[in-house]
Amino acid sequence: MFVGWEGVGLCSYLLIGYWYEKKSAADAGKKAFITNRIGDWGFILGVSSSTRRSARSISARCRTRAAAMPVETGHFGVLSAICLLLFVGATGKSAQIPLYVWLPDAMEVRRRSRRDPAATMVTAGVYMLGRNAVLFQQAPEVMKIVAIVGVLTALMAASTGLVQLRHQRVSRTRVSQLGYMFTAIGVGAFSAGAST
Amino acid sequence: MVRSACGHASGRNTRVAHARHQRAGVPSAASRAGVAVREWGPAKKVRKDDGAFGMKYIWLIPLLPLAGAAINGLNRHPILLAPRRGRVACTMMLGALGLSLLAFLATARAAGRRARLRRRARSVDSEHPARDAARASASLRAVGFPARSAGRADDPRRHRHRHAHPCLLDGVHGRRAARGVARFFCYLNLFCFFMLMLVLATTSW
Repeated sequence: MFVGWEGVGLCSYLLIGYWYEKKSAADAGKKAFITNRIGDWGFILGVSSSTRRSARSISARCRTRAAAMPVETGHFGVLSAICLLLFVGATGKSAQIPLYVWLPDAMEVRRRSRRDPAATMVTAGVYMLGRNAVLFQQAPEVMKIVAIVGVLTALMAASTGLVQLRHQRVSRTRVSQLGYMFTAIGVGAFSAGAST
Repeated sequence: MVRSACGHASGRNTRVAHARHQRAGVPSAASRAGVAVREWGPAKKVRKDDGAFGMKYIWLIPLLPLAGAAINGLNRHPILLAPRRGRVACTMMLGALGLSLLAFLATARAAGRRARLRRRARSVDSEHPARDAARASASLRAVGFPARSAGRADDPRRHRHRHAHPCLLDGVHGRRAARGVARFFCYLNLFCFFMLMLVLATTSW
């Protein structure tokens, strides 16, 4: 999954910066790439910390082992830290606060060149959270953070979209809808969030 | 119990129960009722290729977009003009979509067959459920559908990539289609390949 995760980020950067002669497209591509790398930093840390904890964790056994661990309610344990780092990776890929800045620029390029390279990639973060539902259910504190960030993103993007031009409204609406998906994940409706 | 025209009792459950009672030396219900039970015939031939085509070539689903990316990205021959490059990319994606649909149908058929076998195993021998469950799973393996393949092929997100090409192709045709189309379709096919890798991966990260 990590190979696909990184490859999707790279291809999205290449597609956003397809018209590299234009400064706006090149800048949007660079912004998307750097923002995604910041998110991937958290994702890699989450994966490596879970691997260090258990040598066989990159497999289905990790989920079984995590389900057997006690639920970290009221405190912030190792499992919560791992989930938080995975969530940082998802915010970068799915354009959530504070790593949402790349999507409006990418969609601005899309408006000019009539292409939508970031349309599919933004769902990858939500999908990753849905795949790791077992881990997140053991860390309710992180689920709260996910829900709060989703609500804030939805409100912020929708309210700023009210005062934007028409074509910029579309990008804000998309960020807002992604916020709703994260809110669904945060309240425990994993199937609803990941299948939206 | 259904009787055939010659008065024999047909039905797999009756035959299985009759054979078991004969082995134990106890008259079965059919014998007590005076109904002749047809003996076991030759084993029914299992059609191994029934629906297995989609599962056999499931590995082609992510590889077809990769092949499209390789053709568009590496082949600089002038015979591959701009529209043909688009056709190559779309053909690869449509092939992947067709294979994923075949895999979906095969999985749905296997799920139905699995349910039928479970029902049959429950009805054949309620005294030995473990043995009949093992027999049912052996029958499943014989027809070539491992149980763990069902979850991945049922995933509706697998078909999400099918919208990418038709939408994007319109934009390309309206503008400078001949210039750099190969690069664009190469990126796009590569994007689809990595997205399929992400969705089809068995690991969580």
